[in-house]
Amino acid sequence: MAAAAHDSLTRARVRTAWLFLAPMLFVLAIVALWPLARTLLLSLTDASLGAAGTARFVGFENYLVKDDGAWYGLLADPLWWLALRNTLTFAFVSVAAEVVLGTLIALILNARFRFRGLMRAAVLVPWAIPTVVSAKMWAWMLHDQFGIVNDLLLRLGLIGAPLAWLADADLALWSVIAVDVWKTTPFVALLVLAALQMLPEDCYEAARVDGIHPAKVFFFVTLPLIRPALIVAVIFRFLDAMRVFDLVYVMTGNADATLTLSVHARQMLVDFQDAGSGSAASVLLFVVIALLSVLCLLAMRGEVLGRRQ
Amino acid sequence: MAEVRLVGLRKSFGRTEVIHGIDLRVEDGEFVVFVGPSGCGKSTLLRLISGLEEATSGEIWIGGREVSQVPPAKRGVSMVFQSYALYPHMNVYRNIAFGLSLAGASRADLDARVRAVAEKLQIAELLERRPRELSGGQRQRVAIARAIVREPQVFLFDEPLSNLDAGLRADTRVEIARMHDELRATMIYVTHDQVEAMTLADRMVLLNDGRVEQVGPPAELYRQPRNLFVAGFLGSPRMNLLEVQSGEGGLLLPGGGSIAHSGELPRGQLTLGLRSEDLHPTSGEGVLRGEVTLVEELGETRLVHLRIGDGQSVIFRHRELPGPRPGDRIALDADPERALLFDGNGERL
Ligand SMILES: Nc1ncnc2c1ncn2[C@@H]1O[C@H](COP(=O)(O)OP(=O)(O)O)[C@@H](O)[C@H]1O
Ligand SMILES: [Mg+2]
Repeated sequence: MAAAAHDSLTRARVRTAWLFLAPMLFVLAIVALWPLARTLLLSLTDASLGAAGTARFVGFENYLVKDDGAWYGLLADPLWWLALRNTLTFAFVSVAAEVVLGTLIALILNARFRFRGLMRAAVLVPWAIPTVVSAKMWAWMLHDQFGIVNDLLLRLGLIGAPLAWLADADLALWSVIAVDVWKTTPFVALLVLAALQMLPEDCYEAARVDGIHPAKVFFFVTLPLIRPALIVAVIFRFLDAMRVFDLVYVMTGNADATLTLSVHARQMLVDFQDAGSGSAASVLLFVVIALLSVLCLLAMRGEVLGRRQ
Repeated sequence: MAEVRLVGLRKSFGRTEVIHGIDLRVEDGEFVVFVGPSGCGKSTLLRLISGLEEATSGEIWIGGREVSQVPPAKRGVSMVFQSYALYPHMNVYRNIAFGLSLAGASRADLDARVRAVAEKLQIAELLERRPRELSGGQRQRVAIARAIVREPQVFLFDEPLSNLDAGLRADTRVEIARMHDELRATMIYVTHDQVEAMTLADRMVLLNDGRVEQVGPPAELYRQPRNLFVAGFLGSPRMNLLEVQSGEGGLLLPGGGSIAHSGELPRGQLTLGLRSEDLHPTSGEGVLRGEVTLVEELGETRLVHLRIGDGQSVIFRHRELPGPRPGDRIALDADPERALLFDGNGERL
């Protein structure tokens, strides 16, 4: 009898929970699920922006199809593979640099010195500027003829002739990565700083009395203790970097050297008016990110999420 | 092993001076306890000795070496923190071993040392556990083990027992005393708990507001306090302090009683200090008379509050059964040998 009463109480609670969740699920369905489903459907057609209403179902032809002994479709397109490689390079390098630099800056900001409050605020400036604005600003600064970067390097004698930072295929991706690092390091620094401020101060005093070398303290005490924060920063930044669009598009447009998956999808969809292939490119980007997310979560399992108390 | 000597030691934080010139000598192998009310500068003094804080002026000598410009690690001290300061992500073994350097010693050597210390502190079974899987008392042992394993010249303890419950505190106190007997190391121990201070100390240093009030063996501070502050700080319940008039041949107490006093006394108002255990009920006239207002039962004895007129009251320790009841009128005799007299400045005469 008691069990029955308990059961009905549980059922009532579950019902209430669904009731509270319903509005959010509804909103999610119309803003996320519906567009996703539409994109998925479109990617299976030959829809074109120019000729609406004439779309025909073509199966997986936009992704991969064999015709007359040759492969066609996105997965057979070297450009898509180039975009994937660019995106992965961009994500890995920029996130690695941001985490290392962000941690360094956080360590500095965590030390005691005058004007620390001012410095903490100043560090946030690049993060606070809208991406399009900072992208445009850096595009000007990196301009091969009139940019301040070339001017400075020339005056200092570090380079002999102006460099085409954004036009040179060997430099463009690195320039974009550098700007992303400049812009996003503060975010990582702030996350790490918050973690540093939670660290037990007495442990550091104990280490001082015991004469443990600061480098050893950093690697064996600080780093393990801020690991959860670092992992959160890496996951956030990595998934964000995989979708990078605005920075690249404003700085270098559709150039092959910096073409990322998002830029590529936009090019298909808008420039080539090819809604079918563009949708397929979007779906592929979604799949890549979903796969990487699952990999991340598996690798970090128990580390951040299901951390046992 | 080493002696510790402080000479004219001062410390300011910003413009506020919190340690006002301390001179002190701690002998080799001695157990010295810094005691005093909260905020009097005990921790600061200990941190100055450890090197975690830098002295504003003065000298610190450890083992015949002036160390005020020497980094903490090179002073030959180990510190046990109130919060234990264990590394939360390391197991007990790593916590103990982390401060040991490989310099000159083999890995097997270090391992043997860690295990020997763990054995001694009865934490050998806990070596694989993390601090959060330990009880307060066990964490405390790990913190002490970590201090011992480095074989320092001087041990510094900052209120190491204050996070333990009463029973555990008494047990650990005994163990620390035994550890001192065994290691024969110089130990400086900070506490605000006078029972801890009295039971552990070879000598006590009573601090007040960044100054030393009195230094000496616990019994001496208890029986011969130099001034009213020391008299009032030590002992529970607090010493009874009565306004008395000194006159021909003795002291006139509130309520009309008097105590004979040999020797010269300044005339006028003085303060008489009587501890609760030095007052005894008497069937005769007594020196103090009054009405019982409160009886605090302690089990083996009881504390009786007695209103003696002039708005003053005393507390005495009553042993016999049955105990008095509120409203009873009682006369008390005082032990003249034990009575303490303080002048108008609070200094003992
Ligand atoms: N880092 C600090 N900055 C400023 N004032 C401090 C600092 N540490 C201690 N003090 C002050 O010094 C005095 C003594 O503190 P402390 O040594 O911790 O006292 P205790 O350990 O006896 O309770 C207190 O008034 C405290 O506010
Ligand atoms: Mg303290």
